[in-house]
Amino acid sequence: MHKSPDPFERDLERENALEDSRTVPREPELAADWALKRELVGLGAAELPVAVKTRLRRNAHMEQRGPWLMGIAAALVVAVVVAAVLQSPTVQQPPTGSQSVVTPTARDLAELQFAFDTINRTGKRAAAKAGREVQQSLVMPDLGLSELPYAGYVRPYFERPDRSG
Amino acid sequence: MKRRFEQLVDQHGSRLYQLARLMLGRDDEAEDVAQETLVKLWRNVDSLHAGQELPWLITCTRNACLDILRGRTRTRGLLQLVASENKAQGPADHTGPGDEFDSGERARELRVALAGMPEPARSLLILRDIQELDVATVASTLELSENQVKVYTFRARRQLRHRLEEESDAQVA
Repeated sequence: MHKSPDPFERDLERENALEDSRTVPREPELAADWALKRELVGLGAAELPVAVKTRLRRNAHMEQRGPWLMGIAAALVVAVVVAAVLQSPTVQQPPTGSQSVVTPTARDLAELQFAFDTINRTGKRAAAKAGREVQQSLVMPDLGLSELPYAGYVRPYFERPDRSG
Repeated sequence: MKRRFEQLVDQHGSRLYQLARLMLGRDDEAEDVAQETLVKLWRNVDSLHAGQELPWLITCTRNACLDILRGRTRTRGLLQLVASENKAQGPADHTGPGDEFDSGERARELRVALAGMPEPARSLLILRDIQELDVATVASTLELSENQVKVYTFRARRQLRHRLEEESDAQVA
């Protein structure tokens, strides 16, 4: 019994026959395929437009120059940084431990003592004056002294501004 | 590097442009695709071994074209929803006014019918029959075996012929 060929193998044979054939095949279907194949050759052939070629060349040229430009830019930045570092003002060194200790002179100590005394005196005078001014406005609270024995002896003590003695 | 790049542009640039024109049917888009592909070549030329360039270039061009065609399909789908576009119009009818690059009526018919072919049939016909690339290069580009390239090309050609005959019969009727 004759086995029908595999469609893939059959089409492969036909394509090979078309490729090899220099003349029109006898089979009508294959002849039509052969004619179409020859008709298609070169359909829509065209040269790459000059404008595209020009743009490509320009692009390639620019990209080739890219690393050089980057190198020049990097060198410029380095030069600026170096110049800035070299021209920067000298930084004042902080004083060392031995230089930071200040020994006051006798005159310094005398001036300091005079300042303290002045503050002390002025402070005492201001407090006494304020006390006098305020005392007149104060009302003596009723402490119930009259109820105490010998109240006459005790009252002058409390009524005296200076109770120190 | 620059010399090699320029050699490759001179050698394959027109082929890529033709491939893009046939796939897209528009000169302006084909120019963009060819340029984009060749810019990619410039950036990758050092990493490509000798002999690898053409399959690589065709793959880049074809992928860029397929992206554009997919975008068109999406756009066309939206337009069809809005405007109930005539179904009889083939894909090439959506090309712009600058697509009249084949003067003959027969060439126009072929181009329109080709544009309406599905992938990879369209690419196979362009690469094998129109550009006459060798089987090995096409197989490498489309990731097919050499026998598959031959068989699929044969079937694509026959499909194209039937479409052309149907179109011709419809015009006569």
